[in-house]
Parts: sequence; C-alpha cells; structure tokens
Amino acid sequence: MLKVLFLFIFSLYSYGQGKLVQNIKYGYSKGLRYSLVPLLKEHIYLSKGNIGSVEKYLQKIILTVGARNFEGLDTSLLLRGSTTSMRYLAAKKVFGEGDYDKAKSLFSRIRSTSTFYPFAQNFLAVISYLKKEYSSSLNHYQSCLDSSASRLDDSLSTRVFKQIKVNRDICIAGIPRVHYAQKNYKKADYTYLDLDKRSIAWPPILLEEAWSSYYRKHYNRTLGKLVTYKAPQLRFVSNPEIYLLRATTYLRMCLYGDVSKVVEDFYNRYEKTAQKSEQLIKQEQSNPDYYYQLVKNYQNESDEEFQYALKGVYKSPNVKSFFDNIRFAEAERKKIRKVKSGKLQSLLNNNIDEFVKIQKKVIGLVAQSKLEKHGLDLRKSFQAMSYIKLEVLGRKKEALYEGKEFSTKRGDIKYLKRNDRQYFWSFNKEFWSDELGDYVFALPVECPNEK
Amino acid sequence: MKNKYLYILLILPLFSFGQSNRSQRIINIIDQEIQEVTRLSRQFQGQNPNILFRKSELYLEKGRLIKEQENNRYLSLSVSQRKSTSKDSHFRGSYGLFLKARDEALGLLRKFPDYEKAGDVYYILGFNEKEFGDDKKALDYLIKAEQKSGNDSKSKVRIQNALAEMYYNNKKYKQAINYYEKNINNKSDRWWTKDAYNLAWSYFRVRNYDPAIRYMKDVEKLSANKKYVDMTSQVNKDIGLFYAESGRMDEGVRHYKKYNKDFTLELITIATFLKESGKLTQATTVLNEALKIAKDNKSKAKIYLTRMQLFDKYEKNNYHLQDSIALYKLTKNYKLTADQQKLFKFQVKKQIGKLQKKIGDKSYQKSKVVTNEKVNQVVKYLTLLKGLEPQTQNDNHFYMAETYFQAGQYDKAIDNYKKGYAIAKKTNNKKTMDRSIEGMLQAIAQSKEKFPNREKYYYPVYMAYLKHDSSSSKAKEIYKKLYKIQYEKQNITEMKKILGTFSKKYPNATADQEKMVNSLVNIYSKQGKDGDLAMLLGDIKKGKYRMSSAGMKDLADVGQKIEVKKAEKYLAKKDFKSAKQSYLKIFSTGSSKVAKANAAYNLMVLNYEDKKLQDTYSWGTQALSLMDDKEFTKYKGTFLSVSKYLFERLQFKSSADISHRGYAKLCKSNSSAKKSFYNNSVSMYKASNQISNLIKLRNSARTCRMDTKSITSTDKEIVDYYVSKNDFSSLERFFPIAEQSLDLQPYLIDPAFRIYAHYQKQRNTGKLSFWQSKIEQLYKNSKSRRLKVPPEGLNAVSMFDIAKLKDELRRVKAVRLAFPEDRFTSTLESKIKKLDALQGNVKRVQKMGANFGVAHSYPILIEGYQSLINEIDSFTPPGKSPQYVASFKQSMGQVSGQLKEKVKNFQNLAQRAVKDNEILSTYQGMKQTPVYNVFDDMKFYDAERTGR
Repeated sequence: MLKVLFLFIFSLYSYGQGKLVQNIKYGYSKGLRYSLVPLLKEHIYLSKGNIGSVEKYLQKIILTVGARNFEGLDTSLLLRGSTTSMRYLAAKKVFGEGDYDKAKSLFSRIRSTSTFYPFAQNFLAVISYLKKEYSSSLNHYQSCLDSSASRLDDSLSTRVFKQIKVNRDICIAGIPRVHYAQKNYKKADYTYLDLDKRSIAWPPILLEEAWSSYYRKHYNRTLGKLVTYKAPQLRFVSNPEIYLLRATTYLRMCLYGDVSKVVEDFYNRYEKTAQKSEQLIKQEQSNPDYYYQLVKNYQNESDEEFQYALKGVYKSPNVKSFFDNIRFAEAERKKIRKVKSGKLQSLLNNNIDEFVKIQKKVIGLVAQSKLEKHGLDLRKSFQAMSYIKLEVLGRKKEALYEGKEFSTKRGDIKYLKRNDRQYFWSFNKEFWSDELGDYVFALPVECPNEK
Repeated sequence: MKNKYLYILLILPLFSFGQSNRSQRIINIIDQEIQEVTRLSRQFQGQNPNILFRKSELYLEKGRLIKEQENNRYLSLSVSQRKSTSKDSHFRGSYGLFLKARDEALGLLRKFPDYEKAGDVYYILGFNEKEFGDDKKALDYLIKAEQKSGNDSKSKVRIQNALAEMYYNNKKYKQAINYYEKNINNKSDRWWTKDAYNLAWSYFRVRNYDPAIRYMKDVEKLSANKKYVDMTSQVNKDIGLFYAESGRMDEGVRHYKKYNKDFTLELITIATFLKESGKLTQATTVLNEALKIAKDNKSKAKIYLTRMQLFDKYEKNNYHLQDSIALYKLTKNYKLTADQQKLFKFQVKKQIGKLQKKIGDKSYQKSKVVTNEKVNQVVKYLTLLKGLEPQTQNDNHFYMAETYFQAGQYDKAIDNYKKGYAIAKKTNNKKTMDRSIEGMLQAIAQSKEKFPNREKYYYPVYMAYLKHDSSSSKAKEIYKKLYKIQYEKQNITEMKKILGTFSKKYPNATADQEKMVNSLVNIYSKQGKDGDLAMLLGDIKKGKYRMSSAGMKDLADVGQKIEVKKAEKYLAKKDFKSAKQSYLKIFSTGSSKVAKANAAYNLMVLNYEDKKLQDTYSWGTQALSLMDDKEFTKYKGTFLSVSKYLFERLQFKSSADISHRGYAKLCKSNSSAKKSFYNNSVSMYKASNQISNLIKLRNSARTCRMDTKSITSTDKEIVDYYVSKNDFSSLERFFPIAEQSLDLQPYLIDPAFRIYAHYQKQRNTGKLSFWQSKIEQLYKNSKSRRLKVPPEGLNAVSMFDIAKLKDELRRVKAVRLAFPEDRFTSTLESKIKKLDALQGNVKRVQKMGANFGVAHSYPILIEGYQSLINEIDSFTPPGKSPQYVASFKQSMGQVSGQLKEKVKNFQNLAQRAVKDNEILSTYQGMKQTPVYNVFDDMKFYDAERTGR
C-alpha cells in the first residue's frame, strides 16, 4: 500500500497534467491499455472529472479492463464528469451503493449510440426488476439484448467482444427471470431456452429453470434439470440449492426413500467441506492475497468439493475477467519495451505492477466474500435438509402411530434407484453438451392424494 | 417444529401395540429422528431451543415405547424369575432414556430461561418424572408447566388435564376434581369421555355420589357418539357399584334392567369390589340381591362360589359349609366349569386344612366340645370331597388320621394311618402310602407327655417304614434308630443283622457304619469276646464295613496293642524268634510312629544279639529315622555300641552312617556322646574314602555347635585327602571353608601353593595372582598370629621372594656404565646403591628361614656384584688419551678389587648356609620343579616388555 502511495505521489509531482495526457495518448497509440489505467485515474483525479479529449481513450479502456477498475474513485468526483464514460462509471458506482433512482437517471442518460448503452440497459432492467416494474424491466432487457447483438462484430477486440457477449447472455437470462418473478412459469420456461448452453451465464440459469418447473409441478422435469449438474462439465457448480430442490421435489412426490438418500448424499458431500471452509475463513479474515492464491491454484486443492467451490469462484464471470486482466496486463510489458523513453518505460512497468496488484486484491476480496456466502448457504442448507428429513420421519411415524401401514410398495426404492442409476450410468461418459438440461425423469408421484 | 409431535408423544403411546413389530419400527424411526435432530442441533451450534426441545421429546417418546416393551417382557416372566432379579434391572433401557430426556430439557431451560415454550418443556419434564415414578416431582413440574403456559393456549388445557390425571392417579381426588372441572365443559375433545369418566370416579371416591353418577351417565351417553372415545364397557361395569355404594341399589338394578340383559355378573363384580374394599355387609347384600334375581344355576353357582370366597376370607365357617353344601347340591343338576370345579375343591380342601389346623391349635385343645365340632365339620367336608373327588374316597382314613393327629389323639391317628396305608397299598396309591407312613413317623416323634404310648409303636412303625422304603435317606435314619433300639437292648445278633443290611444298602455311609462297628467293638471289649472282636476286625480288614482312615487307625491301634502284648510275652519267655516275628508284624502293620520305632529298635537289638551285621545296621537306621530326638537320647548308648560293634567288624560305611545319624540326632544337644558320634563318623568316612559324606558332616559341624578343634581337625583331613588325590578343583572349592579355621591357615600355605603350581602347569595365568596373594595373605596372617609355618609353606612363600630378587637383579644389570666421566660416576654410584638394597632384601628373605630362600638368595647377590665387577673391568673410556685411560683403569681396579672381596665373602656365607641348613638337596629338588622355570619366564617377559 505504501509503495502504491509513493508511486502515486511520485507521478503527481513528476508529471504535469499536460504531460500526463500526452503520455496517455502516446501509450494508447502504442497499443497500451492496462498500464494506462493508473494514468487515466490520475488524470480523472487531477482534472476533477473533466477529462476532455481523454474520453475516447477512457471508453475503450473501460470496455477492455472493466469499469470496476475505476470504481475506486470517489463518487463525487465521478459525478462531476459529463462524458458518457464518466456517467457510466458514476451510474455503476451509485448502483453499487444502492441508490437505484440516481443510478437509473444516470444510466438513462447514456445514449443509444454509446458503446455502454447495452450495459446501461442491462442495469436499467435490473433496477426495474428490483422495483417490481416488470414490464419496464422486460423492455430494458429486450433493448439490452438487441443493442448487444448489434454491437457484436468482428472488428471488436476479443475482450470487448466477450464483455458484450456476456452482457447479452445475462439479458437473455434476465427475461425469463422477470417472467418467473411474475409467476409466469410457462413463459419463463419457454424463454430460458433462448440462452445458449455454452454461455458462461447458463449454469445458474439451469437451477432457475428447475425451480420454475417445480412451481409448475413438473417434478420430473425439475429432477431432469437437476441431474444435469451431475454432468462432468458442470460438476464445478457447487450450489447446495441443487440438493435442496431435489430433496424438496422428492418430498413433493412422496418418494421418501429418495428424500433420505438426497439428504445423506448432501451431508456426505458437503459436511467436511463446509467445516473446512468455515475454519479457513475464520483463520484468514483479512488476507485477500491468501484467497487470490487459493482460487488461482484451485486445481491443487485436495478436497474435491472444496476444489469445486474454488473452481466455481474462478469461473464466475467477474472473477474470470480479473484473471484475464492480469494475464493481458503482463503480456503488455512486451509493448512497453518498445516505448522510447526509459523513464516512461519504467513508469508504465510500475503501473502494470500496480494494476496487477489491484486485480489480485479484488479477486481475493471477491473470493473471500463468495466463499463466505457459500459457507453460509451450506449451513442453511444443512438445516433445511435436516428439517426435510425430519418431516419425512415424522410422516412415517405418524402413519405407524395411527396404525396405517406405511407403504413400501409406493415409491419403490428399488425401482426408482434402478431407473435413476441407469439413467445416470448412461450419462457418465456421454453427457452431450447440447442435451444438457433437457432431461426429464419418468417417476410416478407416490402421494396417496396425488397419484 | 410442530407441536403435533407432543400430541402424538403423550397420547398415542398409551395404546398398546398389537404388534411389537410396529412398536419397534417406530423406535427405529425415533432413533433416526434423534440422529437427525442431533445433526441439526450441531448446525445451529446448539443454539436453537426448539431443536433441543424436540430432542428431549424424542428421548421421552422412545423411553415410553421401550418401557412398554420392557413391561411386556417383565410380565411374561414367571414369579420366581421376577423374584430372583430386581425389578429395576428390567427397566434399565427406558430409565436411561428418561434420564436423557430430563437432562436435555433441564439443559434447555438452563440455557434459555426465557424460552417461549417453557410450559411445554416443564410438561415434558413432568411426564418424564412420572415415568421415573417420582410423582411429587412430576406434580411440581406440571404445576410449573401450568404457570408458564399462556392462558388460552392449548398447552394449558393439556397440562391441566394431565394435572387432573396425576392427582387422580395419586388418589388426591379433590384436586383431581378441581383440575378436571376447569375444562370439562368444553366437550370438543374426543378424550372428553375418558376425562369425565375419571372425574366421575373422583367424585365417587370423595363420596359425592350424585355428580359421580351424573358424569357416568354423561359418559355413557357420549360414548355412543363415534366422535368420542368409547367408554361404554367401563361405565357398564362401574355404574352399579356407584349405585350400590350410594345406597341406591334399586335405582342401580333399574339402570341395569334398562340394558335388558342378565346383569348378575355386574353385581358379582361389584360385590367383589366391595369385598376387596372391606365392605363385607354391602358385598353380601349385593350378592344376596344377585341371588334373588339370579335365574339360572350358572349365575347361582357363581354367587355361591363368590360368597364362599367371602366367607373364607372372613372366617364364617358355618356359612361357608352351608354354601358348600348348597353348591354341592346344585352340581347334581348343573355342571360347574373346570375352573369353578377347581375353585370349589380348593375351597373345600382349604376349609379341611384350616379346620385341621384349628383342631391342632392349642386354644381348642382346652375345649373338647369345640374340637369335636371342628372334627365333625371336617367329616362333613370330607364327605363333600368324596363326592367331588371320588378317586380320593380311599384316603378317608388318612384324612381322619390327620384330623385325629391334629386333635392330639395319636393312638387313633396311628390306627387310621395304618388302615389308610393298607387300603392305599391295595390300590397302589403311592402318595397316600407315603403320607400315611409319614404320619405314623410324625406321631411316634411326639413327646412322651403328648403320646405316652409312643414306644409301643417304635418297632412296628420302623419296621413298617422299612418295608415301605428300605433305601432312601429317610430309611437310612430309620435303620440307625432301629440299631439304637437294639444297642440299648445289647442285642448283638440283631445289631449284626442291621449292620449287615445297612452296610449293603449304604456302602458309602462311612461315619454311620463306623459308629455301628464301634458300638459292637465296645460291647465285645466289655464282654471280653476277643474272638468275636478279632473276627469283626478281620471283616473290617476285608472291607465288609466301610471305615474312615481315622477309624481304621483306631481299630489298628486296638489290634496293635494286642500284638505288643504278645511280643512282650515272647521276650519275657526269651523266645526271640517269635518276638522278632511279632515286632516285624507290628512294624509292617503298625500305624503309630512310636510303635514302629520301638519295633525297629527292638529288631536292631534282637539282630545285634543274633550277630546279624547287615540287619542290625538296617534296623538301626530304621529306628533312627523313626525315633524323635528325645527318644533317641534315651538309647544313644546302645547306638554307640552298635556303631563300635560295626566298626570292629570292619563295617566302616555302616558304622559311619549310624554314627553320623546318631550325631545328627544329638545335633542341638550338649551331650558328650555327640563328639563321639562325630569323631567316629570322621574316622570311618576317611577310612572308607567317603569324602562327600565327610564334607556333609563337616558342613553341619558349626550348626551343631561342634568345637573348633574338631572342626579344624576335620578340615585338615579333608585338605589332606584332596592333596593326596591331586584333586585341586575340589581343594579349591573347599579352601574358603578350610581357611575359616584360623589355626589351620599356616598349614594351608603349602596346599595353596600346590593349587598355584597346578594352575601354572595348566598355563591358567588368570588365577595365578589370586593364589599368590592368597599364599602371601596366609603367611602374613600366620605371622601376625605367631603361628608356626611348616617348612613347605615357608618354601612356597620364599619362592615368590626369590622371583622378586631376580627381578631386582635384572634392573641393576640393565643400567650400563658409560662416559662422559660424570655420567659414569653417577651410574656407578647408583648401581652400587641398588646392589646394597638387593643385599638388604636378600637378608630379609634369609631371615624368614626357608631353605629355598636361603639357597637361592646368595647366588643372586653374588651374580649382581660379579656382573658389576665384570663391567668395570671391561670398560675403556672412549676417545680418551692413553694416559687418561691408564689412570682410569687404575682407579677402577681398586673399586673392583673391593667388590671382589665382597663377592668372596658372600660365597663363603652361601656355602655355610647350605651346610647349616641342609638345604642343598631340597634346593636341588626344588630347582628341578617345573614351577620354578615357568615362574622365571613370566618375570622375564615383563621386564622385556617395559624396555628395561
């Protein structure tokens, strides 16, 4: 931290603002992006938001490195800016601070021609969704989708292309979510299909689809969706909710043997991992670097489940983009070597150092909070699982007390298991990506009243 | 966590499960629930009170189910099985679970004192305590539960009803009424009928009959509605009692008539209840009422039987007899059920028994009238019994006998027993035969005051018994009694007969046979019937009668005494041959040690007389081994003579053995004979080369307090023996013992040197230094005690001194004269000084007076001086002028001249010493011993090694 501060002061006193802008322009012309981030931030700071001609460089760089790298700047400073980039940064920041009205007003002012427009539409859709203004939300999602699609062309750099693509996919997934929130499950189910299964946004959507089917009482479809998480491609999705929904679905179907099996499987799969992750978080309270290393080297983790959890963090879109930032930033050093001025070369290399350091710290912090949440989710899920099992046991006991024979034929475990296994067995090595999420179970509901 | 569980937990288990299988399945589920709740609690880190509460509930629930299983198991046990174990041990499983439930609940209350469902927790605790059987605590908890539960809560109703039930079960009916009344107006619960039924009973118990009957009627009415628990059968059973107890029997009868069915049974049940409550009159009234309305014999039979039980309980014998007769008459037209028949017979027999007991009771003996009345009643009951059990009619004599027995009329009793027995025998009724004969035995066992004629019956009764049973343990006692009778009569013939039979029947009854034999021996002895006695002893010897070893010994003593008497007679007559045979017999058959010792001793003497050496010796040793020390002292003179006698006949070994044994007997005594025995033994052992025995003897010498001189002398003998045999290893082993005799130490120097020489010869260098020091030590000790060392010893010591002198000489010779001049002078001075010292040491050796020392020391001294003379004479200073050399040689010539004089002088002295001490031959002899050479080698080696 001290070193960063020193560099900052050094740059403050070593370069005048004119020189700063000159360097940004020069650097940009040499294809530099990541090493310019500290210079841009410095310029925003020194110009008090009035960045002037630097705007066009800022836009391109935000799209490349992500807006989050600028969100560390003071909100009031960002709000002073009048350019699209500055507005976008300010809007994101106030959104993050929970001031949706202000965020909405700022995002709305981003013009449709702006590169940030699709992103702004996405945020506006979310704000409307949160305000339960579903129709407006749907409109913004649609606008987001269209504008994203229209901007996807080959002239874009890989990274910018990726950002827009992910934005588009999130908006595709947003539409069924709005339907789901409106309990319009049928429509939700239909629109979920619009999302490409190869998308990074797809795995969590699968669970939402499963929930939607559940609410439509399409329990076999729910189970079919959930079984997809057993596919090798999706093993890293370490979401306890999958088990919870599976157990709840079996409970709904009065398949008590299966409920118990899911509960036991869940405990077996996660109990140790949960203890480990809780202990780890307790030990490493304020050590982002530790978490960065943990996620970076997730493959070295011996505990399989914990490795999946780490992999989940690693693969989450926002964390992934920071890892990409580090990779690209390091690659940029080659370009810096071509800069003629040795002094500037040294400054830019220092900037890369600083940039990388910040990326790592952010990754560490995000990972920590994600793991904490994961641990919390697990704890809650254990409780829910136990309650579900107790419910099953209670039902069985009540039946016995009342002298009713608790059916052993109904929900025949053997039959179900066999079916289940056969089904899974054929998956083991043959999970075709294009079939993922399309499986449907064929189990009879065993509740006396619903048979 | 739903409260429905609480409902299930506390209500449903009250029903018994048709199948224990179902109960077990529920328990299995509860186990899973406990497991899951524990896991869940862990997820909440023990901070969720609802879960803790659930856990407690589950333990209680399981506990109640387990208790039900345990209870069923317990009830299935036989009475004896139940008595043999503590009841608690059958309920350990449930007890453990109740404890857990309580601990969980108490833990919860401690952790969460403000828990919103505290009322329910206390309710659980209350139930738990109820299961523990601690009603007081249960009540306390339930009262707390009531206080903690909200006013309108369902829990409160449940708790109040539980409290009501608790009070009801504890017979606190007023409180029960109070709690039941709180919620009784709310008839919505299906369990209302049960609560109201308990309430009715509570009112009944406090004698408030109107509300009791009213609630009973309500319960009966609502029981018809399926919504409620059906209590109809209970109401039907009990309402009559309520009417009867309230004195409204007519109303009760009317109520029952409503049912339009025979309710005699209900009345009987009520009567039974009244009877058990101690209300005899009311019970009788109800039964009388029942008898009035009873239409059929079936009901009447029941009433009679119930009344008979009632009269039996309250000792109304006449009424009982009346009902018995009435019921008997009824059975002519009505067949009782098997159970009733059984009960009827039981009642009749019980009355007979009771009456017989009363007849036997002293208080009735005073009044013959009362006794006769009871006897008459018995006769009537017996008549009934004959009708009820025709197969027992033959037993009438027996029962009569029993009655007479109880009435104290034993002659009549025995007469009837005899008749009863005779009849029973005809029909082979073993049981009655047994009991009759037993009765007779009991009768004659009465005291003389009670039964003056009893003796008249002894013989016939015993004989009758033995005819009936001749081999049981009881018969055994009878035989003994009969034998006693014959013994008192001194009837030897009968006694022998009984003994003969007894010994065959009870071959293992050793003690009894022995007593019988002894009493026969007693009579024979008293009557002087030696022939009969001998025959008897012969029979015993043949094993005809079984005797204990002690008994046999006693009898043998009797025989032996006869034999001793015989032998003594022979001795007196000088018939030694017969006497010998008698003693031999006593010795071989005698059981006492003293008798055997005496026999052996006498046999020794008799053989001594006959000059039979070997027999004398062997009987002598026998006698010695059997005689105790005290006894031996009396005869020691004889044994000394025997020893001497054997020695004179060159029987060294035998003589030594007798002496040694004699010495051992006198070991602790101060008798002078001890020394004689000891010395004899030493001489005889030496003479017969029995060195190991000699050693044994020597080893015991100190223990037996032998004098030092004798011991030293023995040691010398042993040492000499080993030396003579060249047995050095034994000598070495014995050495530590021998050297304890201080006076022997000078003598031991030579044997020690011989051991040394032996090891030297063996080249066993490891032991040499030990023995050298031993020799020196012995010599030193002898000197300090001014004891004379034998010449061999002195020679041995001087040999070591000579070796040392030679060593010294070698050191002198090793230093060579050399130039420059001052070095030459100092070396010469030093050598002369050393030779002076050598001379001093030679003198010391010579003073010791050993021939060897004297002979060998002079040559050493002479050699020392001679070698110096030679060295001086041959020395020429190197690199010096001829004048210097000449002057040097001249001066040195003078020095060597003086030395030569000295040498001459020594040679003369040596010759004189050889002459004076006559040592030449010894010296020559010693010189040739290999010892000496080896000795020399050793020392030389040492000198070379150190570079001198």
